[in-house]
Amino acid sequence: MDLNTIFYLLIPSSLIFLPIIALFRGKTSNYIVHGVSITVSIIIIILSLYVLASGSTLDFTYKICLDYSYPILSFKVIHFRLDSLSAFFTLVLGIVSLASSIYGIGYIGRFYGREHIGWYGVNYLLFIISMYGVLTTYNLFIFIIFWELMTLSSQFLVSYEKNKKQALWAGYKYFCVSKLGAEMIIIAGLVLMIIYSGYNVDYEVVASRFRELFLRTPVIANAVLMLLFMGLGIKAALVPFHNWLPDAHPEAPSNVSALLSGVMIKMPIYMMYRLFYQFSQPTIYWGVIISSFGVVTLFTGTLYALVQIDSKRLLAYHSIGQIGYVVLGLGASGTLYAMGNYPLAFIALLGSMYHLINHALFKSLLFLTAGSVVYRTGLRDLNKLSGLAKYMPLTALTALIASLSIAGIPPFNGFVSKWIIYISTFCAGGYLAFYGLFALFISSVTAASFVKYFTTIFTRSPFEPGSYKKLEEVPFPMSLAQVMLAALCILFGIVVVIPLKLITSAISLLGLNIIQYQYISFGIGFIEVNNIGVNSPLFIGFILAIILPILYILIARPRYTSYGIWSCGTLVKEGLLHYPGRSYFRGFKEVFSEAYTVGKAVHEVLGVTSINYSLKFFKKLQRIIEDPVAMIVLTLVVVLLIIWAVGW
Amino acid sequence: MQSSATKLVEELGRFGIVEWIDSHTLIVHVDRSKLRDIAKYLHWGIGGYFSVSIGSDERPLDNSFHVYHVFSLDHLGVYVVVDIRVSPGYLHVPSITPIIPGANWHEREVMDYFGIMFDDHPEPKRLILPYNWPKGVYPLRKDYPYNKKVYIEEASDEPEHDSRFAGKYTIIPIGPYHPALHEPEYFELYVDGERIVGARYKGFMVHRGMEKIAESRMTINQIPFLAERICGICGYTHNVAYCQAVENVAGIDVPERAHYIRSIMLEIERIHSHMLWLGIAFHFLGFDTGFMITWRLREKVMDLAEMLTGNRKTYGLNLIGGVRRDIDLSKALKVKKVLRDLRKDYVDYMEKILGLKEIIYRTRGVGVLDYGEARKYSVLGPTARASGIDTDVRKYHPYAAYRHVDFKIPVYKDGDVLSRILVRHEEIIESINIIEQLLDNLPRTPIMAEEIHVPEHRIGVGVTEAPRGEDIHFVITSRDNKIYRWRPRAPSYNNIPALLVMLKDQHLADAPIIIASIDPCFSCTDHVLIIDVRTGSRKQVGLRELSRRGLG
Amino acid sequence: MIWVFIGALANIGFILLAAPLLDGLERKIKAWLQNRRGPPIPQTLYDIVKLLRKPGGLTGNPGLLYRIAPYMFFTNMVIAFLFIPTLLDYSLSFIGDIIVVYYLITASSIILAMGSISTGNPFAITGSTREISLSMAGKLLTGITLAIFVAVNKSFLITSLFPIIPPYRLSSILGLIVFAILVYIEGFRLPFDIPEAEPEIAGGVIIEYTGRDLGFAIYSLLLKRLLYTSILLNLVIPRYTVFSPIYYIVGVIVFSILFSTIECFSGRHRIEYALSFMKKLSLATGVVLVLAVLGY
Repeated sequence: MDLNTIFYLLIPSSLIFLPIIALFRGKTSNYIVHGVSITVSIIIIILSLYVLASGSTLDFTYKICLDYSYPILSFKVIHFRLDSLSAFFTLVLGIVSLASSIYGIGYIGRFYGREHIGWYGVNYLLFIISMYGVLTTYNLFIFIIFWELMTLSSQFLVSYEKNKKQALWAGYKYFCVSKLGAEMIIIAGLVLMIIYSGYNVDYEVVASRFRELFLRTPVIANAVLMLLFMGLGIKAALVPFHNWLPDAHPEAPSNVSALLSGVMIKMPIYMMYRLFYQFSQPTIYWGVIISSFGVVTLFTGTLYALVQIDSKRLLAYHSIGQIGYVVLGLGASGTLYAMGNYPLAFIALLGSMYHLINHALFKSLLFLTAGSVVYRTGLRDLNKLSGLAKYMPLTALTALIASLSIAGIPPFNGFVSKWIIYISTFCAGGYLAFYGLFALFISSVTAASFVKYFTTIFTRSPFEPGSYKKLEEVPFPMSLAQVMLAALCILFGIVVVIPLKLITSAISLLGLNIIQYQYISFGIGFIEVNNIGVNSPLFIGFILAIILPILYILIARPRYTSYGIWSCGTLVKEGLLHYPGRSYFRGFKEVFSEAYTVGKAVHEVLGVTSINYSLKFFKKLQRIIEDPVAMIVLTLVVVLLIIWAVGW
Repeated sequence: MQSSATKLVEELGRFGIVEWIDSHTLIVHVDRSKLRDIAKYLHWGIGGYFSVSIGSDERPLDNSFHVYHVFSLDHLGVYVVVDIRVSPGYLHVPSITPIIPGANWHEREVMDYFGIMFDDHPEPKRLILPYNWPKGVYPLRKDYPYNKKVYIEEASDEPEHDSRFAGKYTIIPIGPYHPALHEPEYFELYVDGERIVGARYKGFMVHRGMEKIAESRMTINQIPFLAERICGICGYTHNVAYCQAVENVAGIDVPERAHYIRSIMLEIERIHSHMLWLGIAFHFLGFDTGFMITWRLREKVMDLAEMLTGNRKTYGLNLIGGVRRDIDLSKALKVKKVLRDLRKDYVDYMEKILGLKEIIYRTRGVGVLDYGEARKYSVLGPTARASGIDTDVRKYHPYAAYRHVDFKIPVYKDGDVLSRILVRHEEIIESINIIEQLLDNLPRTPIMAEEIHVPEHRIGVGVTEAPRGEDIHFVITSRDNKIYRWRPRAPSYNNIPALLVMLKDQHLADAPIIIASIDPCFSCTDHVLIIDVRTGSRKQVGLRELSRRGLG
Repeated sequence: MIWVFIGALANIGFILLAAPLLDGLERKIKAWLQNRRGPPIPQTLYDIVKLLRKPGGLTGNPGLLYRIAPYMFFTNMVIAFLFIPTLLDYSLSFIGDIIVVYYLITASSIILAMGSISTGNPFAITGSTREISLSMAGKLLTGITLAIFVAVNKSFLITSLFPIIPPYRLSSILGLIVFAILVYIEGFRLPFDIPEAEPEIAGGVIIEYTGRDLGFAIYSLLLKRLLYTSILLNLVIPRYTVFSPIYYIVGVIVFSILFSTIECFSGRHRIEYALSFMKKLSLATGVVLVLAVLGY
């Protein structure tokens, strides 16, 4: 069986498992679903690594269409292709879903007897498969189908805990925004695209036709792009379309949160890459628009994250912030590409994609650690959690690694990708340099926020020492998943060559190839000619800075004297020396309240009204569906449309 | 003046039997049912203020306990002592704390020491005695020998922490060993981020047992030296207050020159105390240069004290009836020269320091105690004057030589820390003026009264204006050249409870300067404890606790 | 290349000695201004040497983070000096070294704060949150100031920190002044030594550190001060001349005198005041940025 066959069979064969999973409940279902999803993930990883390493593509077309005289029927050409860009994203998906599936074996045990595990299993597997489908399809029509499936299954996962009102509300909100807001716009855009590409839905054909359209009538093409960018932006939670995300992501089971934040919000980014680099050429104004969105997003998301006191909500806000970095990189590369500065455009895109995979790694790891805390304590409140490091050392260590990674502390992976983004913007000069400096400032806010996240949950002594007596490290599968991701965080930070190679291979598909531009990348530490980032003296320095102190403590074992906490000589009960999460950075929040007022205004005006609007729309739609006359009219219209289309 | 005083006597006659103790002190014997009315009348009705409560075990004399509440009527220059007789069979007195919140500590102290219960007291907890002190042992009663040892079990549970805040907010302990406090006291601040949402105070950690020692072991003329050791900063004012109390009882005609010398030394003490305080205040504001400057200037004042009395501190100058050392002409000239230079330097520096933006910014509007709250807690001295209360014992109850000098009383209305700084700043200059006036007019009389005869079982009240406010000593004389009851009350005793009001909703960064702004003299406040006899046992407990917490 | 490396190492050797001595000098200047005699100039060096010879302290069981924090702070600072020419003109400069220095500084304060918070002492936590708040506001100011330099010289890219020779115009000089203020603030000098404010939080960030750990923490703080001063100096003094060591030493001493004099005549800010001061300064710097963009 060659890899092409596996690629060919992966989706249908895993879909077979869905009814089987649905049949079972409890433990059996848990093992089956995670067994299947682990297998699927491993296969995905192997496939994408193969594609990225060899530079080839996996491809299959399945034609059921007999008659080409009706253009609409050409939809039935099912074309799947795993090219290097897709492979890069499927690699991300594979890694995160592998970790979260392993993690799920332990974590889903929480819901035994409370919830229907089979229901979770069906949706979980469907979710992974549909994301895989979104990434591998080479056909806009199929893309829409899988996109819909992805949203649907993830929505059920968000509101999985049926008895939690909050979860139901979050799921409902998510559904309203993404279904009625984002998806309608995306579908509208794609349909327009299909129409303008002459009813051919194959990516290659669409791309060439759309590029032509761009030259012929740029207004229409830009309108379509605008529509698609809006829709994808809502799905990617760009500010000001972000406010569904912090409600939706935390409510799902933690391993699903990891998938949602780690992978799902990358799906629209994937489409953006294709949109701006394959279906059209980047232009300066699009570059400006995208990078401006990126900066606003990273600013608002991170500043809001700073004041959160719910662990998973904090992480969700950071997802918004970090997506901002990714989008900033994309926008910067667009501008630079349009200006003809291909080397820097390459580097910006490199930073964007590097940060994307890094974010997938550390954010899903953070969600997993937050999940471990929930698993053991049932708490997400940073005001109440404290002192878990003593009881859950491995979780604490992995959370520390993830926190330092997202904070961009060298030598973890977040540093490298942020560094590349800064370099590209600084070297570009102009407005991009301002954006880069802004991002630089925000990275220190990110760091501050993760000081809060890590120290409140894991360090210090427990708030109520008695209640933590039974606390212990999470079960093996969960810690295995965490360790796996943490190891990758370190690996991607130190051995920079591996991800750089993978990304270079992915980018080469978009028409930017590093091979031509070796001369410019000479001076930039990591991206030297031979891709020897590890050898650079800078890096040795970093590693010394981190390693030497640790070695000193571990090997030299310096002498210490033990003391109690100095509390001015008074007897204060241990638990009462407690610093709740909400007290952190109070002064900063008060002084920089303007930032929050502005952010709040954006939040209220754009976010809340858009949601209210979608809710109203949804209610109206419901009324139409309940009204038989309207329904009949609607059906007639649809039928007529189809007839019209077929009879073209 | 005379007519209004007689009117007062008439008015007070409604509540009980009124007598004059001496020329400016009235005693009213009231029934328990009239107590609250008279307290309300004196504190809120005619503009006096509550000064101190004294418990007294007078069973050997008239087979009863007594509680004395002392009120000061500044506008009449009269002190009114309200006397309530409590029979040993029914040890209950109506509490006046619901009317005058400032009486809270005073009444709890009487509860601790004498076992007299105050009905309707809002907070009938122990104040001074430790929580593990055995029940039913009242150390200031006469049937409790001063050298009796009490064995105390180790702490079982300490009823600590304010339950409204503990657990919800961060506890920032300030004290007993904290760089912002130079004496062992404990403030527990409940902090949300940087803002103080609540505070709790625990004091009375210094145990010296002075009252019991004075009442049981010492003679009348030894006590001045003990009184001076109440405080390391303003000791002399206690000394003078005590001497005046006894002199008032005995009707001793103290020679004028002695009065003048006492006043001079009191003012020197005030200058050095205020300068010390200013230095510390600047240090708490992070302005160490100001600290260095004020302390360097203060050294000159200390040298003056040493020249005049032989000691930098704890002058040991007073006896009942006069002073022990004279000031000769050459010394007087030297003092004047030093003061002239000092004034110039001081005014010069302070103008510059008070022009610094940070100092003003850090103190204006910080730790506000408005007029109403200040009256409620009957705060004293510069704290009261900064809150718009025009009170000064030197002016309204003139003692020593203050009736012969001309000086003004700085009063500010804002009630914030800046006002307290400015009040003290101006007082330093006024004090220099006063000393110069006194030195110019030093009368040529002896410095010691010849004939001293102290009558038995009479009440005497001696009051001085300490640097921190009104310092009152209440004395009941006894035979054999002894004192039956001695209750010194330092001004900080009234000022500290107001701190909790000032601290509320302030920034954590301002807590030290707010606490310091009343110039709290904790050892003055705590001196009254009786517990020296059991320090051994207490010490063991302390050490064990400390070492358990790794502090030993 | 090897000479560059040796030169950078020589720089570090110089810095390690100079940082405590400069602090001693500042103490002496402050003492003079306060009419005191003051400690001898090597006193800070003696203090640190003495501290380094004493064992560290553990409060409760604070974990690895607490133990390594002072050392990490120290190594980060030393490595940051590799990229900045100090006494000699040699440094390992390359495109993007500014980001490296930036992150080394951020990382050190983050790790120190984390280690300090992990003791659980409320004083330490208060101090740490103050330190991080200040550093966030400082980073905003840094960003805007650098943006001015970008705007002043359109062809000037912030790729490499040195040599930066911006054309001297109104906005670039104002930018330099703002940067000097920033250097003052980031050194935790007196109005801004809020994270360690002794009267209320009794040492704050470093309250639980003793002995060797405290020695390293203090040493690193002094190195951080010198690091900022060196960055500032590199923006003003001419480099690559025979006299550059002399320029450097004179510059450092001048700034020490200037800063310690300012420190002597100021009280401590409240954290809110310090932050709002920095916010206002950021806004003002934003105006300067507009000026720079307009070409003044």
